[in-house]
Formats: sequence, structure tokens, C-alpha cells
Amino acid sequence: MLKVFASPRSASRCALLGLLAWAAFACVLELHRSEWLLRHDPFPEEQPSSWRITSRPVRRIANFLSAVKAAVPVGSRIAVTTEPGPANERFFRSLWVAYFLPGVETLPENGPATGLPVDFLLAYGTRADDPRLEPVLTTPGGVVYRVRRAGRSSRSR
Amino acid sequence: MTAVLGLSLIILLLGCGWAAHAAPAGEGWGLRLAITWLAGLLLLDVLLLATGLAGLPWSFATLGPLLAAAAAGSLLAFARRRKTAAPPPHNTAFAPGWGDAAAVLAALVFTVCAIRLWNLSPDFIYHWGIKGKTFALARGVDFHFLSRPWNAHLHPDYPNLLPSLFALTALWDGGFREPVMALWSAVWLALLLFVARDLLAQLGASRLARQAGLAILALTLCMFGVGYLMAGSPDWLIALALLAAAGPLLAKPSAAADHRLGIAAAIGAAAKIEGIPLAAFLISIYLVRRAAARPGWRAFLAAALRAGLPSLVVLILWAWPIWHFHLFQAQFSSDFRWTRLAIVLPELWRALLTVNWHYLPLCLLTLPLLVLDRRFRPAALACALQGAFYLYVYLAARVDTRLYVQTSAARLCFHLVPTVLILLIAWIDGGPACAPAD
Repeated sequence: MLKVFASPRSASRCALLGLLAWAAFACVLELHRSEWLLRHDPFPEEQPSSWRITSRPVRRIANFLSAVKAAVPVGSRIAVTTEPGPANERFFRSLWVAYFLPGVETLPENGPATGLPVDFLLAYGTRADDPRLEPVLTTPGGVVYRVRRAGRSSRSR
Repeated sequence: MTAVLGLSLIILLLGCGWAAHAAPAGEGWGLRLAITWLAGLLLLDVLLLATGLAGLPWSFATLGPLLAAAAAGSLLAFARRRKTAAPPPHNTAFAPGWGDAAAVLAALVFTVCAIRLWNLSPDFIYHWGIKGKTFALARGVDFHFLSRPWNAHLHPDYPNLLPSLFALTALWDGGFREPVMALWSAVWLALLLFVARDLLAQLGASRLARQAGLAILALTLCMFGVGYLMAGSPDWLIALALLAAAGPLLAKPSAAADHRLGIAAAIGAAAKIEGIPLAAFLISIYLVRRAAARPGWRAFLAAALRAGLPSLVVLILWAWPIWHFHLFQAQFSSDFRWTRLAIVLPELWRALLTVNWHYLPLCLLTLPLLVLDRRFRPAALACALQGAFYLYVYLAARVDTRLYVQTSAARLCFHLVPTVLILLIAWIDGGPACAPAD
């Protein structure tokens, strides 16, 4: 052992090889961990901040939103309401909605623009009950409602 | 895939003229390739920003002639430079070995993971990808979209190099495909390895240190890039900018080093908002070194232009629309409080111990040691200043400090770790540096 560190040169060789061994071990460990996460997909529906694009909840919401694309014209403004999950997590789910609906102005749930007039309401994992809402797309995953605005035609004139 | 290859070819054509000045024929081919790529990317970004500000939509009809003209000019400059180039001072290339093989393997693993989207960054969804999709639909940077109050979470004041590149890739590809976008990160990982390989040679590292250093860096990048989900992130470009700048910072001042530093700093400034202070640090440190050699004011002015002008152009093209559309978000820098240290320091320590890093960012703690060593001082100082800037932002941001550090510090370490690792490996090796850094 003492011989190994007999000269600074051999000490530096040992340090370099030790660092290399640690980096190799850490890389393999990390790849194994990532593979486990990928295989077990432990990212629940109610925690969208943890989702990955390969997660099952993402595939579900992507399927729903591909149907939504046909019902919501580009340039529309939509509000989002989703379930389940606490408010901060639902914000992340609406970011996924925004990602899968480019060209549509998506107001994130619990975001700074909550309450602004919108053209559509997208309810994912939940239903809305309001006489001003007219369903235009109903799927097992969620519903898209057109928002009837009072005095809309007179304003547009 | 075709879009990435095609755009890479265009980028290389755009950059070859400038790179002929920045990395002359005597430098290693890996470094020349990396500098050519970075110079081309920078020119492409400037072209996209300029056409956007001129109100021209991105299309084959508008960009085609401009890109063709720029590529022709670049090729002409490349050909002229080759004719007049002086014989190379020294060739820093070294023979391939086991470290290169390990690096190729690590890069391939990362690339497969990226293409399969196993490590796509969450910020790609929340930020960079949505911008890229929107810009592709708008055929340009959509500042009206960015200025909407409900899009404040998209950091509308960030430079738009990455989303613009995503948009251009999508326009070329006929659709926005995540695997193609993630492939850009694999390109940047490869460029990081090319630059690191040359830097180790420049620092005079022994053969063992060169091979081990390259393998260590590749394994670290693969480890964190896969585990922390870094595909599709712009943080690769900041890490690349810093590493690419380390070469000229530690080399003897020359016109080529001025150009290289200028390209690296501007790439940082164009990639992300934290790249702007990085560019300022790199240019300042470099020019102080330049001035210390007493080159005369004409030569100094020329060096300052070569090193600083690219960043200045990028900065102006970034700042004008930010000012015009009121996009700057002051809450991240306007409320400095020392008392936040009590929250920030423990969280920063936890970030260094983040499980996906496996203790490797602890190498950042050796920065004072590297700053004290004259051979590494300029590059180590740039890393230290950038780290200090991150600390300042944590102390000045008017947001939930604990959450802010928890969600960003491990990723910000990624900017510094590659450069510090390479410097540390050269320091451990103890070999003679190429040039004294005074």
C-alpha cells in the first residue's frame, strides 16, 4: 500500500483511476435506477409534476387531447379544470395540456389569468355543471365545453 | 433525424469560415469540428433573430436564399483562410485509446435514451418544447404569445436559441417530433467530449489522464443526462460554452483564441439567461489577461472586438424585443436579502448531494484550490464567478427560495461540473500546462 503512494505520480494515478471507477459505478447505478423507474412507472395520476413523457397518465392525457384538437380551433382560448390532485399539482397538469395543444391559448389552472373570458372549458378527469357551458366533446377521460357568453353578439357588433 | 443531419450540415457550412480563424488547421480536428458547429449555430441564431425582427416568417423562400448566401460567404472565407494560414504552432491531437472508446459508449447510451424519450427533460414540456411548437406554428419567435400574462411561467425573457432551433427542426421535418428534438442534446454531449479531449491535450495532461479524464467526463454526463432527465434541455449549451471558453482562457493570447472565446461566450449568452452573465465573466477575464500582456491599444481593441462583439450582437437582438414587449421578469433579481443564506446554503449542500449526481459535484468545492493554481486560474475564476452569480440570484429572487433552490441547483451544477472536472483531472495529473495563465 505504501509503495503505491511512494511517488506523487503514482498517487495521482491512483486518484485518477479511483475517480474513473467511481464515475463508472455511478453511471451504471444511475442507468439501473432509470431503467427501474421506466419499467415500474411509479408516477401517479394525481402527481403530474412527476410525470415523464413515457408515463401512463401522459399517454392517457395525450389520447384525450388528440381528440380535443379536432373540437377546439387554433387560436381559441381555453380554461382548464382537472382532477385529481392538489392545486399546485393540477397546475402542472394544465402545462401538459398546453404542451399537447399548441396554437391554443391555454390558461393554466390556478394560474395568473384565472377568471379571464375563455372560448372553451376543458374538464379532464372531472365534469363541470354550469348552464353557460355547452358540451362539444365528451370522452371517458374528459369533456370540452363551449362557453356561452352573455351579450357576445352585441359586443361583436 | 433528417432534419438534425440537414441542419447540422447547414450549421457546419455557416460556421466553417469563422472557425477557420478561431481554430486553425494546427488544432485538433475534434476542437475544429466543435468550434465550427458552435460558430455556425451562433450565425444561424443571429439570422433567425434578425429575420424575425424584420417581420419575415421562417420558410424555405425567406431563409433559403439567406442561408445559401451566408454559407457561400463562409465557404469562401474558409478557402481564403486555408490558402493564407500560417503553419500550425503545434498539433494538440492525441491518438485514440480506451478513454475514447468509453466516451463513445457513454454517448451512445445517452443517445439511445434520448431518442426513446426515456430522459426527456420536464422543462422541455413546461417551457422549451411548448415554445418550440408555438414558434413553428408562428414561423418565428411569437413575442405576442410570450407577452401573455398566463405564459409568465414560460420565462418569456429567456433567449430563444433553443426553441428557435426546435421550431426550425419541426418546419424542416414537417412536424414536431420529440425524439428528433432530444437528439440535439446528444449532439451537444458529443461536442462537449470533443472540446474536453482537446482541452486535456492543451493542458499537457499525461496519456493516462487524457484517457481517464475523457472517460470520467463522458460517464458523468451520461449518468446525469439520463438520471436527471436532461434531454431537450438548453443547459448543455451553457456547459459547452464554459468548457469551450476554458481553452482560450488558459492558452497564450492570440487572434484565434480571441475568436474562440468570442464564439463560446456568445453561445452562452444566446442559450439561456444565465449565459448572459457567463459571457460577461468570460470576456472580462479574457480581456484582463489580454491587457496584462500589454499588446498596445490597437491590438487590444481588435482582441476586444473579436472576443466581445458576437456576444454584444446576440445581446442586442435579445434585449430589443424584451424591452419592446415588456417581457423582462424582475422578480428573479430585484429583492436581495442576506437572510436568505440560512435557507439557501443548506439547500445548496443538499443539491451537491443530489442522488442523480452521486457526489460528483463535490468537485466544485475544489474551485478555491484551482483558482490558487496559476495554470488554471482564469478558467477556474470564471466557474467561481458563475457559481457566485447563481448564489446571488438565489438571494435576490422574490419567489419561494427553498423550492427555487431545490428545483434548479442540481441542474445549475451541470453548467460548471464538466469544466471543473477537467481542470481537476489536469491538476491531479500535475502535468505541465500549455501556457502559464498570468
